[in-house]
Amino acid sequence: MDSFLMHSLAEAARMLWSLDPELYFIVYVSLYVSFMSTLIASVMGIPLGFIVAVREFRGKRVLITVLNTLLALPTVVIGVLGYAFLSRRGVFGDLGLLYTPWAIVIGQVILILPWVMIFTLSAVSRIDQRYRRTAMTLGASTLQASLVIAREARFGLLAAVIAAFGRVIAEVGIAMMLGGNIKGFTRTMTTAMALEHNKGEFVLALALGVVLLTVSLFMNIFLQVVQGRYGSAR
Amino acid sequence: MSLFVLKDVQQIFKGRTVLDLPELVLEAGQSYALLGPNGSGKTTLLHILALLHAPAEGRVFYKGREINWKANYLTPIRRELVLVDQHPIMFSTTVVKNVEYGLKVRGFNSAKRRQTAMESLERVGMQDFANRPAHQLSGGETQRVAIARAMACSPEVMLFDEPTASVDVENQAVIEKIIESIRKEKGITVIFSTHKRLEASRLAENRIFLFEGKLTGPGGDNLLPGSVVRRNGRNVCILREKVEVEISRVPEGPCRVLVNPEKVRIYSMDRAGKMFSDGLIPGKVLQMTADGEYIKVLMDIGFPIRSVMTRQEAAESGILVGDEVMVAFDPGAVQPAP
Repeated sequence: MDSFLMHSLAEAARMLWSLDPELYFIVYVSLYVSFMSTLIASVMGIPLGFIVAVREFRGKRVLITVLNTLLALPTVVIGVLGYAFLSRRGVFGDLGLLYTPWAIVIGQVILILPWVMIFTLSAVSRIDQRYRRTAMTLGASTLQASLVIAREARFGLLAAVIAAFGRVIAEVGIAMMLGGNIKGFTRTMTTAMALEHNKGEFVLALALGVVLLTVSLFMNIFLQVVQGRYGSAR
Repeated sequence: MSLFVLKDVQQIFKGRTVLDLPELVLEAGQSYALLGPNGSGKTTLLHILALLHAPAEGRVFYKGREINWKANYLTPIRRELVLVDQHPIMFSTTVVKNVEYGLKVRGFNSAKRRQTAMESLERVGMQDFANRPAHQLSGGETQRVAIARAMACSPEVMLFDEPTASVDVENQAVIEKIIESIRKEKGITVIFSTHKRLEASRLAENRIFLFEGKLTGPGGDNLLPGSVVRRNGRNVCILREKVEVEISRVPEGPCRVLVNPEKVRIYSMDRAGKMFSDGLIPGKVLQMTADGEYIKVLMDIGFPIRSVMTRQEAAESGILVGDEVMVAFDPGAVQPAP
């Protein structure tokens, strides 16, 4: 087992060191779809989560329960539903999105939107009500006061983005079912791993896993640096 | 034209009326102290005056114009008023950036912001803390920076929610001086809530007494809930379900009564022992404060009650803070609240 693991680590290092264009394209596709889906989900989910947190409305508790339930939504369910909508016979079949990176992005946005909303809701709900009141009494408009709350909740909001990114870069169901694992087009690190595993290339599969973890590690280090920089009093 | 006119204003939280003011008029350039026990509606009233919370019922007029509580209309008017909380919260940035915030949202350029912020910090003696993280300040320092932050906005009205309640004695004196200077030098209307009658006397030209959300008279500190029952042909009021006192001309049932502090007698245990004990209530002296020629005494007789006596009477009685005493109510001490 040890030699198997060491062999895999060595293979992973060799793959990264050899600047294999195929590998780097797989990493690029993984990062591209993960960035895009995280960006879109954050742009939609942070304001929506914010509104749910600060506004009182009928059905709020039901909505939160639904969002919490959606956290457990399996990727294959999204894959099947996405396929139903994006395939040629589907409602959005004419758009020709199936088996493209954008199909993966759409599926991943559906996957992590509830995550971003729930994390945002949780972060904003914990912020002291006095921040809003203080901003308002100092002359802030509703939007300016909301920005104050967002600033105070920035650690939680960044955690939402980090968690969402971590969720999509590691998922395989959506990328496989909506992306199709097409070499040089929609193949991501996770679908490549699944393929290599099916082929019996365990060393290569594990090596890709190590690459994935390495990329995730650097992404998290980057986000932590951003968090630390903007977390200090300036 | 009056600065504020409140008509039939009610604030209701979870079905409970916490503020009920048929009319309240506040004039510009004056200073007002809102007095009353905890839960009397002082903070609720301040939040309405600061235009932070709309009342559930009634109308609020500011400078003769009725307030439209829609957010778009409120922001320009709200910029003439600033409320300093009892426990102010600082944004998680530096002290000077906190003070600049009000100017930033008003669109001032950074040079003007910094200059005004530093002037405001200087006024409260906190200029040396300008670049410190605001979250590292002590309670008193936070209160002073919060006042500087409010002053930087150049408001016409400053509202303070118990400004000295949660700070040490040294900072209390500093904050009182700052509020006094705001009032005298800048002519800003000052409205503050406090438990401290002496502070109210020192800082305010006008005192407003609140009890259970309603305006009461100057005896407001001794305003108590009671229940009137008929016993042996006499009307007896049971104060806070603990102490029975004779009362006249009140229908039976729950009521609110004012206890005239001048008609509350205090006897030392030595003296009380020589007296007929009927009608004497045991208590303990909690606080004695000088107010001109008078000494105000706060006692615990199962609930707080205040008495007032001349300096001579106080000297003769020999009563000190912490003493066990006996308390008696003169005839007519308890009257139904208006």
